[in-house]
Amino acid sequence: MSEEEKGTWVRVADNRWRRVSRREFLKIAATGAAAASLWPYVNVPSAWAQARRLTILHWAHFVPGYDEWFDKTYAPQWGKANDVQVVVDHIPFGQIPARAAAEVAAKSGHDLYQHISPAASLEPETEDLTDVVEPLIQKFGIHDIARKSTYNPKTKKWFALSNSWVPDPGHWRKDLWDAAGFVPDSWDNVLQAGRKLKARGVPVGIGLGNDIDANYVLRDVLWSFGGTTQNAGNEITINSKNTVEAVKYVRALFKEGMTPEVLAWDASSNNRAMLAGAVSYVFNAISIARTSEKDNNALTPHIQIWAPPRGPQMLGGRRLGAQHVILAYMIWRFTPADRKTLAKKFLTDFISNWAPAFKGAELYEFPSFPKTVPDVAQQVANDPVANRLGQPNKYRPLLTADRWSTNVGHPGYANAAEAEVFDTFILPQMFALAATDRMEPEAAVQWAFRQMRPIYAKWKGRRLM
Amino acid sequence: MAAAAAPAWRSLNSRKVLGRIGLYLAVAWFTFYAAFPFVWMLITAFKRNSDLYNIKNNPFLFNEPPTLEHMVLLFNGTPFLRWAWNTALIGLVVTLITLVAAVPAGYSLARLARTWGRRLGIVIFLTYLVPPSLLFIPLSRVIAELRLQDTIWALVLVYPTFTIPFCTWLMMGFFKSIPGELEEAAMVDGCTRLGALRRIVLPISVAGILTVVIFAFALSMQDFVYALTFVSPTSQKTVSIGVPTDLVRGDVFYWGSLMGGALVSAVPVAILYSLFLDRFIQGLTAGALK
Repeated sequence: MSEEEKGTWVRVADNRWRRVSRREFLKIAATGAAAASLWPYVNVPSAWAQARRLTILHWAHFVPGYDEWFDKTYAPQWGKANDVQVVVDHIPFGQIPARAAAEVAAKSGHDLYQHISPAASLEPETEDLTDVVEPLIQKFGIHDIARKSTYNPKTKKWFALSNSWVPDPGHWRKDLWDAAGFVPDSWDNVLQAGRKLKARGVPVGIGLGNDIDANYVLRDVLWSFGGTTQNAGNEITINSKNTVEAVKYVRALFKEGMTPEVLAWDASSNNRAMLAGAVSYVFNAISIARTSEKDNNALTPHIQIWAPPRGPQMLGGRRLGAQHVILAYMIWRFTPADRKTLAKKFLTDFISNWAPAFKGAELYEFPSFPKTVPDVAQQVANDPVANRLGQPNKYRPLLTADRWSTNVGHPGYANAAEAEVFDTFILPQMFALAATDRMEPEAAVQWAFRQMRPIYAKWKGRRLM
Repeated sequence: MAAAAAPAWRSLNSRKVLGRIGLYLAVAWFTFYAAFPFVWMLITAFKRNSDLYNIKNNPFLFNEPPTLEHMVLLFNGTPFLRWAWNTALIGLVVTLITLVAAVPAGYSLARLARTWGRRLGIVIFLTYLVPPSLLFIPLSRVIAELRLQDTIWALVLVYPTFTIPFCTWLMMGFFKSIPGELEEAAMVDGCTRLGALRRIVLPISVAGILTVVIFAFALSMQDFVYALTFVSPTSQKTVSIGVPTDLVRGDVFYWGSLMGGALVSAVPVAILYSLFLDRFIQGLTAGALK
C-alpha cells in the first residue's frame, strides 16, 4: 500500500485513532467547504435582530455616485460616530409601494423607508415626526412642497420627513425648435411648434399612459389652464371649465403634435426617445440632460431645459409645474422604540449635513430645508459639467424652480386622497380618454370626477383629511 | 399506363417537396422566434450607447465597434456574481425540496387516491394559479414571524409554494402514463409498494423527474415579486431583483448591462434545456419497455 493510500491518522475517540483515506478526506473537506460557503446565508443579521443597527431603504438613485457616497461614505461614518451599523438597501423606484405594503403587512421592515411620490395614505402606519421636523424647520426653514407633501394639517402630524424635492423642467431640442421658430415658453407655442415638428418627424413627447412622468406633467397642463384636482379645503374641483379646456388642449396636442406611442410610454420612454433624437420636447428631471452628457451623446449641445410653459393669458397665464419626485422618509409605527430613536437621530443629522448630498446628486435634488444648502444658486449657475461643455447657462432655468414648482394636490396638501388619485393614474387616463376620442373632453372630466369622489369620501371617512 | 403513372409520381414527389419546404419554413420561423431574444441580448450587451440610441442605425448590426463597457459595469460595478450564486443556490435547494414533495405526492395521487385523486390534483394545480401579487402580503407576515425576512431562506421557503403544486400535477401525469402492470409484476415478485416505486417506477420516470427539475429551477429563477418583497440586502438578492435594482436607476436604464445580465443568466438554463431535450421527448412507455 502506498503512503497516499494509507491516508492520514485521525483521532476518533480519546484513545482511538484511525486512518482516513484520501477519498474520505476529500469528502469531509468538500462537505466542510460547502457548509462554510452557506454560513453567510445562515448568519445573515436580519433587519430587526440587533439593537445597534439601523436599516434604511432607498430607491436606486438616478446618480450612481449619490448611492456610492451615501452607502459607503456618509452612512458608515455616521454609524461609526454613533456606534451603529447602518445598512442601506435599494429597490427600483417602481416597486417602492409594493415593498411598503409588504412591510406594513408583516409589521416589520426597515427603520427608515424612503418614498419618492406622495405617500400620505400610509399615514396611519407611520410615526409622528413632529419632534424631528419642527426643530429642523426652526433652523433651516422648509420648502412649501415638502411641507404639503409630508404634513397633515387635519391630524397635525408630520407623517414623513422630506430631505429633497426634484424639479421637473421641460427638455427641448433647441436646434429643432429654433428651426421651427419657437421657444417652449407657453403651451400655445408647444402646440404650434408641435405641429411643425411632428411634420418633420420629431414630435412632442408628453406621456399619456399610466406612468409617473405623465402623472406629473399633465398636472402642469391642468394647473396652467387654471384647473385643479382639489382646493385648499380638500374639496374636489376637477369638474371645472378650466379642466375641460386643459383636456381639449391635450387632445389637440396629441392629434397634431404627438404620435400614439405616448399612450404606452413608461417612465423611461421619454428618456430613450429624447436621447435617440426621436422627439423634440419632453418633461423630466434633469436625468435626460445628465445621461446625454455622460454618454457623450451627439445631441448633448442641443438638449436644453426650460421652465414649464405658461398657460393661456385668458385663463390666467400661469406657469406651474409639479415637482418631479419628492424624496421623503417614513418611520413605521411598529418599529421598536430604540430603533425609532436611532432613526430620528439619523434624520436630524442627515438633514443638518445635507450639503454634500446636494453636490452628490448633481443638481437633481433640491433641499426641502433650504438653508441646509445656502449656495444652491451659485452651484446651479456654476455647474462644472455645463461649464466644461461650454454651456454655462444650461441649468440656469433651475434657479427659478422653487417659484414654478409645486406639490401634487396643489393648492391643497398632497393628502391621502391625492396620493391615491396619483397612484391610480386618474389624470393621465382622463386626458387619454379624450385624446383618443373615446370620450368628449367634458365626459372625460366627469369620468375623472366620478373616480375621485369615492376616493375622497373614503379618506375623509377615515378622518385623515 | 406508364404515362399515367408518371404524373401521379410527379404529383406525389412535388407534394413531398412542398411539404418539406413548409416544414423547413416552419422550423426556420420557430428557430428565429426562439433565438431572437438571445441574439438581441447579445447585440445590445456589446453595443455602444451612441450606436444603440441612434435611430438611424440598423439595430441588428454593430454600426460602431463593439464595446465591453457594459459587461465591465455588470461584473465590476455590481455584485452580479453573488446574485448569480444566490439564484443558483436557491434554485438547487428549491428543486430538491420540490422533488422530495412532488414525486411521492404525484405518485400517490396517480396510483393510490382512486376516485378523488384527479379532483385533488386539479385543486392542487389551481393553487399554482393564484398570483404572487396577491399572495405576497399574507406571506410576508409568515416570513416575518419565522424571522426569515431579508435572507435567501425566505425564498427557499416560499418558492416551493408554487413549484410543488405545478410539479405534483406534472408528475401525476407522468405516473399515470406508466402501466400499473409493471409495479404489480414487481410486487408479485416480492417487492413492497415503496420498493416497486424505487426499483421500477422511478427509473422509468427519469424524463418526468428531469422535467420537474428544469421547471422547478426555472420557476425559481424567474420570480420577481417574492424576491422584491422578502429580500432587500444586496448580498441576498437574486439576479431577477439585483439586476433591475442596480441597472435601472430612477428612469435611466443601463440597457447594455441589463441585456448582458439577462444573457449570462439565460445561457446556462438554455444549455441545461438542450442537454435534456432528448429526455423530454423520450416516450415514457418506450422507456418502460426497454
